[in-house]
Parts: sequence; C-alpha cells; structure tokens
Amino acid sequence: MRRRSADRGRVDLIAAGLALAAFLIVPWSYAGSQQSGLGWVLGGRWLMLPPLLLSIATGVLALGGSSTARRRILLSTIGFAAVFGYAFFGQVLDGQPLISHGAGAAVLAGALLVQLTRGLASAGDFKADRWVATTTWTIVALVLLFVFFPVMRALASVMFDAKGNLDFGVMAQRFGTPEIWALGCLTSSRSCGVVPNTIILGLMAGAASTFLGLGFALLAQRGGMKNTKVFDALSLLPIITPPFVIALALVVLFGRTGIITTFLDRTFDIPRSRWIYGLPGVLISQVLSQTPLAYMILRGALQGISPSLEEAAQTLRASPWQTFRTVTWPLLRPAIAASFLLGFVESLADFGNPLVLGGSFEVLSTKIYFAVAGAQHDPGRAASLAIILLVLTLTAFWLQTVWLGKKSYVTVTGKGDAGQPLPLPGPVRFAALSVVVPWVVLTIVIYGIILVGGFVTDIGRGAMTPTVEHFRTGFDIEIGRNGLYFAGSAWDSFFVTVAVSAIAAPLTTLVGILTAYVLSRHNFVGKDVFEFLTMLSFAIPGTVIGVAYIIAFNVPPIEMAGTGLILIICFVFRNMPVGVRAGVAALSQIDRSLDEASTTLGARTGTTVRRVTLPLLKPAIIATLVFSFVHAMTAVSAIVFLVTAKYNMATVYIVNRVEAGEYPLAIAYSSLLIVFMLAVVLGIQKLVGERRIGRRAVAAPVVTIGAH
Amino acid sequence: MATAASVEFINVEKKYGSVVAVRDVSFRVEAGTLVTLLGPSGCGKTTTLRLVAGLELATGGRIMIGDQDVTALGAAERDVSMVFQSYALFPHMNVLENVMYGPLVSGARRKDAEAMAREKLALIGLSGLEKRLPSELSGGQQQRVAVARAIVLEPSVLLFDEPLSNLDAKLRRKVRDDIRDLQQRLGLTVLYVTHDQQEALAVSDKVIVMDNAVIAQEGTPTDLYERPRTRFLADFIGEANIVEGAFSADQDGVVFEAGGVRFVLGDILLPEGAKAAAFRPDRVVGPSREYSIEAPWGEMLVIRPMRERAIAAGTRVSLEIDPGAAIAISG
Repeated sequence: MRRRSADRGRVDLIAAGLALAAFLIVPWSYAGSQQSGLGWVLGGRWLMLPPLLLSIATGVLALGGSSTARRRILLSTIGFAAVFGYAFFGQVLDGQPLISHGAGAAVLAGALLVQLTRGLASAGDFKADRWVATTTWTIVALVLLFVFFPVMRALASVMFDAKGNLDFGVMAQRFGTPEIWALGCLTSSRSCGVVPNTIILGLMAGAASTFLGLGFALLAQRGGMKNTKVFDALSLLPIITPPFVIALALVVLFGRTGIITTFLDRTFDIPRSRWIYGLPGVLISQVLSQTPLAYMILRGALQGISPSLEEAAQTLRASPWQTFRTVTWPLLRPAIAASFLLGFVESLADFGNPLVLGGSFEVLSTKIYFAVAGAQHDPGRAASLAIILLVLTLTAFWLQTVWLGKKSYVTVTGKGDAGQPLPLPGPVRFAALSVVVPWVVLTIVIYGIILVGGFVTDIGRGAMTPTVEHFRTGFDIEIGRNGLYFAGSAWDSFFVTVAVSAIAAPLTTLVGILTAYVLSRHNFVGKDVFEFLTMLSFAIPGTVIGVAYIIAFNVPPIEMAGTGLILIICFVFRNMPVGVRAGVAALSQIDRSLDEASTTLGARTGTTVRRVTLPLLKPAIIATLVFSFVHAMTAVSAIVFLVTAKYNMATVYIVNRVEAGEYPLAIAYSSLLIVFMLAVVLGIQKLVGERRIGRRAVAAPVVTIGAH
Repeated sequence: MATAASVEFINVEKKYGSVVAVRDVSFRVEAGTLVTLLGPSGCGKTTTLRLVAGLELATGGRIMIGDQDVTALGAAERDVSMVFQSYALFPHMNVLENVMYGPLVSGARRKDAEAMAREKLALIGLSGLEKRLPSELSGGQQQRVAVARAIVLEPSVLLFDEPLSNLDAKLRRKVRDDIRDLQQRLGLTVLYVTHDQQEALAVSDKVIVMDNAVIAQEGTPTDLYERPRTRFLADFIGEANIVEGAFSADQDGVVFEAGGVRFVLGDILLPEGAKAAAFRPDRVVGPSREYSIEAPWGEMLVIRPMRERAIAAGTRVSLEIDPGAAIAISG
C-alpha cells in the first residue's frame, strides 16, 4: 500500500494566509486601540509591514520543498525578530511610542514561528520532525514571554530609581539596608531583618514538617495499623485548602479572644496574650499545612524500600532495631533531605499564613507584597526583595539536585519483591505515636473550626449562637422577576475564580503534557536549557511572579494588567510544571516502542500523539486537570497582585475580609471553597478512578507537589 | 501479493556523538529472502534494523529499498513495517483496532481498513479474537497480532526485532517456523534480528553476523557453521574448541601442530594468517553431559550422551579427533 506523500509546504502557506487575514481584520492590540495591523501601517507605522511580507514570502517558498529550507529559515527568522524588535524597541527605530500587542500580533508572530520551525525541521533539525520542532519552539517562546521576560524585567527594575533613571546607588541602598539583613534577634531582644527571619522560619518549618511527616509515614507503613485511611484523607487536605485557612483557624483558637485563650484565662488564670502573632503562629500554621506533603514523600520512599532488603538484614542476625538503624534509615535519608528542602522552599514561598499571622514578624513574601501594595508603592524595592527570595529558592533547588541527584535509592524494578516489611521497633513506634496523635487532634479541631465557624455569630470571640447570617452576606440568592439574582457580596469573586480556573486548567494541561512529551520522547540540541526553562516557573515563588507580572505587563508592548487574561496566563505558566511532572512520570511507564510502532505504520508524529500517546496518558491528563484547577482555586501569592475590583478571586476576597477583621465571613467562604473543591476532586476521582485498560490497572493519578 | 523489495546498505554509518554504533556497513538483502542479523548484545544489529525502519537516520552512507534511496526518509515515509520485541501492541485498542491502525492513519476508509485487517487476521489464524484487548491475549497470540498488524500494509520489507525473546522455550520453535512459513508463502523480504545463533541458523536464507559495529561475516547458515573466518565467529556460532598452534604444508596437505601433537588436516582451506584451529565437539541428540578435558594443547570441551556411564573427575581418558573436521581460523 502506498504511504502518504510528504507535505509540500501546505501548512507554511496556510500560516502565511492566516497572518495576512489577521493583519487585515484582527485588532493588533489587546488593550486600547481596535485598529488592525493594516490600520497601524496606514497610520504611518511602516515598520510593521516587513514581517508580514516575510511570512508571505516564506509561505510561497515552502512550495519548493526542502531545497528552500535554508532561505525559509533566514526569512522567517528575520520576520520573527522584526515583530519582537518593533514591539520592544520600536520607539528607537521610528520615534513613535510603543503600542500594545494582542491577537493580531500573536497570529503574525505565531505564523512566523511555525514557518521558522518547519524550516528548521526541513533542514534536518529535530530529526526532520516538523511537529516536534513547532511544538518545542512554541513552548520555548511562550515560557520566555510569560516567565522569563517578566521576571527579568522586574529584576532589572531594581537598578532604576523612582523616576526611572539608572541608579546603582539606589540599588546598593536597596540591597544593603539593615531592614533586610539585621541579625539582632540572635543575640538580643531586638528584631531581625527580613532575610534572617525568612531563613529561620524556613529551616524550622522544613525540619518540623519532615519530623512529623516521618512519624506519620512510619506509622502508616510499618506501624501495624489496620486502617490508614485517616492518613490518606489528611494528605488530601492541603491540596484543597487555601494556604491561609489554617492561620485563620489558629487565630480563632489562640488569638487574644480565641477559644482556647479564653478557656485558659477563665480556668487557669493564664493571661491573654498575642503570642500567636509572629514566628510561633506562622511556624505552626506552615507545619500544619506542609506535614502532609512530607508524609507523602516519605511514605513513597518507605514503600520503595524492598522488604527483601530488610529480610536480608534479619537473616544476617540483625535485630529489628539494628535493621532499622543500618538498612531502613540510611535508605530513607535522601527522601528526608528532599522533604526538608521542599518544606524550606514552601515556607519561603508561603504568603497567606505570614500575612494573617505574621504581625510584626516580617518575611520576604509579605515584605514584597507591602512594598508594592502598601502606601509606599516602591517596585524597585519589591524587586530587590524578590531577587533575594529568588536566590534563596534557587539555591535550595540547586542543593536538591547536587545533593540528591545521584543519591536516590528507590529501586525501580519490574517485579515486586515478595516479603513482609519490618514492623516498627517499639520505642520508635511509641515516639511516632506521641507526636502524631496530638497533631491529628489539632488538625481535626482546625478543620472543625473552619466548618463550624461559618454557622455561628462570631467564633473568634467565642460567640457561638447559630446563624446563617454570614452565608447570607456572602452568598445570598434572590429570586426576582428576571430569575435568580446572586445578591451575596462574594458571588462575583466565586464565579470569576471558578471561570478563570476552569479556563486555565485545560490550557495548563495542554502545555504541561506536551512539554512532558517533548522532554521524554525526543532529543535535540539545547534540551537541557529547555528543561530548565520549563521548570523555572516551578522554582519561582508566587510573590515574585506576581510582582514580575504587574511590573512587566502594565505597559506596552504587552499590556494586560487588570484583565482576566493575565490571571489565566499566570495560572497556566505557574501550574504548568504540575503537568510536566505528571506527564514525564506517566510517559516513563509507556514503552517508546508504542510510538515507534505507530510511526512504522505510517503515522506522523502529530497523529501518533493524538491516537496513541494521549489516550495512554489519560490518567496523567486527568490528574493534571484536577490539580491545576484546584491549584488555581487556592492560589493567593501570585494573583494577590493581579486582581482588580472587576476580576477578584475568592482567596484574595477572603484575605481582604481577614484584613478588615471580618473573620466569620472569611471562615464561611473558606469552608465553602474547601467543600466545593473536595466535591470536585472526589467527583472526578469517582468518575474516572475506576477506569482500567484491560486487566491491568492504570497507574493511580500522580500526586504532584508544587510551591504555592 | 506484497511487492517485496530488496534492501541495500552502502557504507552506512551511525554515530551517537562520538560513539559509533554502526561503522561502514554494506550488505544486500535480496527481495523475497529472509536474512538474519546475528550478534552479541551491543554489536549494532538492532541499530542496523532501526536504520532500515527509519527509526534512526544514518549519519553516513546510503540506504536503498528497491530502487528508492530512503536515507533521508523518516519511518512514516518508508514502506517498511516492524514487529517489535515487546510487540508494542496499543493497549487501549482491541485486536481489530490494532491491525486497522496502519491503513487508517495512511488515509484508508474505515470499511476498507477493517476488511484489510480481517483478511490478515484470518491469514494468521486469529479470527474470533477481534474484540479482545491485547492484555487479554497470551504471549503467542500477542505476537501474532503484532505480525498481522505489521503485514496489513503489505510492506515491501518486514522487520523482526528479536521476535521470540518474550516467548517460553516450547513456543519458540513453533513461532519460528510460523514466521519462516509465512515469509515463504507470501514471498516477503524479511530482516530478522536475533542474538540466538540456533534461531538464526534455523530460519535464514542468509545470516549476517555483526560484532563491534561492523559485519564480521555473512553467508548461508552452512557457510557460517563450516567456514567461520575468525575466532569470534567459530566461538559464537556453534560450540568450538579453539586450539592455538602453527600451520604448515607438506605432502599430506595442511599440517597443524599444537602442544607437541601433529594433526594432519589434509586438504582444507587455509585463510591468510591462520593461527589457530577450531574443533567442533560432536553433536549429541537428546540429553547430554559436558566434560572438560585437559589435553596437551589446552582444554577441550567434549559432549557425550547422558545414557553413557558418567566418567569421574580426574580419570585419564583417550581422545580421538577427526582432523578433517578442523577449521583453520585467523585472528
């Protein structure tokens, strides 16, 4: 049977046609003027025309087949560079102010990118695979534009003073202030600078959550417990809990008028104090929210230790305690280090808890926020703090790779070892139980407070009269002449949140899974750089991204601050690593020969991906959809900078209520969010969880852990 | 039915960075023949197969299929199908969908694709299993689905990558014979990779032995067994006792001297620079015992039938060698 003949430049020509059509009729800008590209050209911006002509020329050349590849690469590269050159430096070229770029510009740049990458493939790059070439470079371009560019632009602003002039003196001053570096708290009662605060908090949170997580993991895996469902339920909680909710509950319990404070005051005459505001409170809330993550990492590591190793030790006459100390523990160490570093990074990135509980104890993330959002509004100072936070975070990630890169003991084999894992030695079990049980009780109390708090007058002051007043304020629905009317003050933010998350989730999944596919199935020059770029947004704390977006996308050439689009884009590129990780993990389980079989049967790469790879990735795709949706619903650190009155998000709305002292409404809204997301997660799990391919069960959805 | 085509490698080279996987390899597979690529793991035989498929692109030389130069064509553009070692059946498609896949993605209409698939499934004896998922089939059945899927497009060349390695010992011989039978019946050009010399000798018209990224020797199975050119080949194909010594020629023909013993080999082929002789141990039908015997020129492997009485270790024995069966080898 005849195979299909090679493509003769049809796609290149279509791209040029689209670029032309868009140039004539689609508005060039996203904000402001509705003129098309043609309109701008007729208005005197002649420099906008060459890229279009180059795209058309490339499209026509493509009809000549691969012999024209080199010329096409040249033309489309110049065209692509010209679009960006004019967008960013047009002022220098023709003296006219920069304009905003939107749909029209995107179509032209996209067409040129498609033509450029197809040219590269025709010339032999990417193993002559046009689909892979286009996909890879599109992802690179998007990540450069929406992660790399804003971060660099924001970081660069540290060098400019308030009037926008280059000033290294101001920069030195910003970095050198004792407000950042002071170490007074170590030796006296004075307070420390924001960097020592952040590091101390991070180290303590990382250590404490790892310690607790280890206790949970040992008990669940080796503690001889019949029912470990409690642990699994607890491990789901942080995923669906907005990051500041635990802080909220701690205030209700331990604040000056809190339930436990009042009880201690009345019963034991222990005076009321504000101890919870500051390091202790932030630490407790961070440890509460991070312990489940540590638990998941350590339990995974424990499961990965083959029981036959421990049995081997025992047949060599080691006692249970010796076995634990000489075999189990050393094998666990890499996971413990990983858990500690993750706890450290999560603590650095955490914004919600320090905002609610920090008081005068300032950390980098909150300090960045107040530098931009506060009365002072000093983006340069925010940038200097963001740089420090970024350096700290990247150092931790770097440590993780050099330290743990070659130290993973998890044995991956096809065949599972038979055998019984070693039960926990008595003293270890006792120690684990004695920290875990109080902790479980505290967690249950905290979620109890959140669920009950919305239904009483003011739980923070101990006023426990049942009421639905708070839900009516936030979520009242009136039935008017025109049908339902959502009168509650929180509905707007709720709808925006759900809509933005629901739009962002599939886009995140698409970008993430395609990236994973390219990363794990294809080799090309510069793959390391590509991998680094795609993981970059994972390492960047949300506050840094938020500041970066607000600084970079507030002015032309890309002007979208204050729109719903910026929220969606922010989520897509922040959560994309979730999809990459899930995709890479799932792809490593799918044999490459399936792709190859499809190719030898005449399928092009795009067809293979659509008909073979993606169907097999279904569990990872669903997991990514769920997690990116939930991450978007619960995120606060990045988007707190990006919301507006029109596009407000649930989490920011709640934080604002907390700042205004309206705790009951904040708690009511939080409980609604948690219940809503629990329903979403469990509903989807129910819907697809049981699906299997043949008799073999498909790997369970991969739980991925990301920094908030 | 299939328009079988020849395959020709002309000085083909494949490098991964500085590692050479295939070095300056040239060979020809005649249309309608079954040729095996044989060699130890890492010798370059699988890379060679993948170069034919287009799953790897050559970094040097030319690859011809029939009259067409396919060197720069990707796998999807070549008229070549492959049966994978793992079978690579799509787990989310049933048997029929797996076999229909090729025609469908090549643009055939659904009805035609299904007819083609059913025809091949019948040919291969799988009718009735169309709706099963691959995970619901036995290893042998999966293998046959993989073959049906590969021949549905009636490719001009069919490739097998170690097709028997995932089957149990008893099934291997049957599947091996089935493949040979199918190839003969349909007149297919088949290139077959294996590391098992017995398998190669049993099914092939021609065997190409590879070692260290180059072709060590090619020829018919008989050629290779009876006239291995090098020590590696003598050792790799069949069992052999390799004895170091010196060759000379006198009125009796070729004489070989080792460990103070003279072997008159008579009229045998003496390759350039021959330095050793290979003696094949007698083949034994049925269960056997293997002895290692200390001869004056070194150790000898001797195989005797199990039904003979066992000889205790340390016993002095006499050894009779048919010098006419010796093979002179170089290198």
